[in-house]
Amino acid sequence: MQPFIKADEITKTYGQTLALDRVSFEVNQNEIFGFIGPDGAGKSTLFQIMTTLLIPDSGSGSINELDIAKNYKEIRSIIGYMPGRFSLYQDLTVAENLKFYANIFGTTIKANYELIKNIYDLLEPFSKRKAGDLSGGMKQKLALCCALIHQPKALFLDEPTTGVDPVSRTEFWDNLTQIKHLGIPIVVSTPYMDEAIRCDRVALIHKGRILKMDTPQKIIAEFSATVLSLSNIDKHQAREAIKNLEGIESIFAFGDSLHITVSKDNSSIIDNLRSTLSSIIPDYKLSEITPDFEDCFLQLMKEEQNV
Amino acid sequence: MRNVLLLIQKEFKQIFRNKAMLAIMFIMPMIQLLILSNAADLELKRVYFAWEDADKSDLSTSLLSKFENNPLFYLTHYSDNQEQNDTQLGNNKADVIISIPNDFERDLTNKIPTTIQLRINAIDGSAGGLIATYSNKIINEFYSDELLKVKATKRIVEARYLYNPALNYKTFMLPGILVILVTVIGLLLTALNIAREKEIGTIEQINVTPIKKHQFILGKLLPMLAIGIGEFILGMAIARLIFHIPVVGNPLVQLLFLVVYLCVMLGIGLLISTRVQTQQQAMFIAFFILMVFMFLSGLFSSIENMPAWGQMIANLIPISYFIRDTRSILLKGAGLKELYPDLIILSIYAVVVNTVAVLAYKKTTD
Repeated sequence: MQPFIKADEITKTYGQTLALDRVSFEVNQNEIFGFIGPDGAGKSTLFQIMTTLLIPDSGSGSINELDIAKNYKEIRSIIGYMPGRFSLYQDLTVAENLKFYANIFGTTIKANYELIKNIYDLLEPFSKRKAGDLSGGMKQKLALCCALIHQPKALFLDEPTTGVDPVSRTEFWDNLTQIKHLGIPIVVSTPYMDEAIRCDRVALIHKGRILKMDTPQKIIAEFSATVLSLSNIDKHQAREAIKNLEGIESIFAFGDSLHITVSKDNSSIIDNLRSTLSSIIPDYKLSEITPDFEDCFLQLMKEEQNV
Repeated sequence: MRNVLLLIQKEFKQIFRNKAMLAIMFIMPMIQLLILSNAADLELKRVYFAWEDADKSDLSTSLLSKFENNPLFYLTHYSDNQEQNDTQLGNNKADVIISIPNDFERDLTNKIPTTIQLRINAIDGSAGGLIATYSNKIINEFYSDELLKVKATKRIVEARYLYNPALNYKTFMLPGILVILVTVIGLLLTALNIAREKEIGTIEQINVTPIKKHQFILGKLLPMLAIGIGEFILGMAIARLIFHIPVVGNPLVQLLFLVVYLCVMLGIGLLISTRVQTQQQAMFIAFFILMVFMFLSGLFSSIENMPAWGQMIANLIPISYFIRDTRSILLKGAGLKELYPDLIILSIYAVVVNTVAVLAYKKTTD
């Protein structure tokens, strides 16, 4: 089966800056595909190209076999897009915004109510409130409703959970999973590593390049190193003491602790680490932990820089 | 068409919801119209004159009493000392010195041409001109009376003021001020409105919908056109009811000119909005253009008095045409027969400006 969304070697530069460097990916139906990367990685540019708002310097893409350059008009009526910035009319009410976007696509709220029902039920009590007066989480739910109201064949959500509280974020991802089960593929970007696990497949993107693309589980499983958590220490002092030790691949600060990555099956390195630490910081705590997504991303980024 | 209606509906909802903006759009211009029309009043209420009489004859005294009996003129100083009189002029005690030469009576009785000198404070040029005109009128009347007595046959020029017989300055200024206000609203609102969609980001969401470029533009321009027309009608009502400005011409012809002219202004606003990213940028560009429009429009200074290059620009900017045409229609009752060349020129402007603006407008992000 042809992948529903396809991008092939997409490149885009802004003046001297390379925003996207030969980015290729494919998304199948019934899939949530996540772009994970820090701010400025090129996620928004990629979304604008895929939604026909920007023209790439080179490369091509298609949605449901419609070319993003040639068939941009058809594409605009079959996709739902949520820009990174809240882009609904703040001076219109919740209901008016939804009605406006439904009508623009030649449909009504009633005709597609089933699709948005789960999300809109939460918004209903505020339907007469101006969109600009909603909370961050509510705004995102409304934007999702507006992107869904014309029954799109694919959804593009650019950082939909940025600036949203943790509870609303969880609810939002629950909504996305429901939508996916209706057969609408979703391309979503996020700077939050913990959301990666909610995607079916993810692409780690940094400085316009895709570092890795796979299921989140596989990415973690393939992580070829041991991660140690070092706590109950002065972070700066500890880092200075161990940063030049043999076999230490990376050290990243995680809250109050340091995550230290060492190559797998190397007990001598860990022994060396313990003895160095005990001489300076006697009551340190060191334990091996399961690497999470953030560890993987930081490690990949570091490898990238070393190349 | 359905999409355009949806957009227009949305636009009006937004406009009428924003109470502050409504006030800015409708109440402020009307207050300005009331204030400006009264403030920009160059009518001459009082002329103070000094009498410099070298002749001191019966005839010269008779002329003096003519001036004194005129409700406009007030004698402030009587002296034959030229220097003293000039001081009066210098410290603003007198606006004009009327100087009667020696042998004034003798020459006049013998029908020898004689000259009366007027020395006028012309710091305010138009006031100076009016003083000269009024003084000449009195002197001419006096001449013709006296010459008739001595059976002279010399024909005296007589001026009659047509279309604005009372020389009411408001009648002349108000249509012009109204045009300026409509221009500001039309041009600025359009430029700001679209720039606002860009600045807030709402345009990004609109751009991924099937709304076509021409639909979006029509959905923006038609409400602005309606507001511009409403503004003008409201202004005309004030002009008619409060200032009693005559409406001699056909209101429909006036409306036709207004619509064509507004299309030009909305097109300029649209063009500005395609070139900017923020409302602030739009505001500054619009302001610059409006300044040029205002000062070269012939409203505050007559185009005929401008240097050649100024006249050239004045003849290029559409507002000069519309001010001139509005005055002609309202005060003179001119119709399409007299004004069609201007209508053609304005229409060409409207087509060109809007074509350029539509071509410059892009649905993709830069």
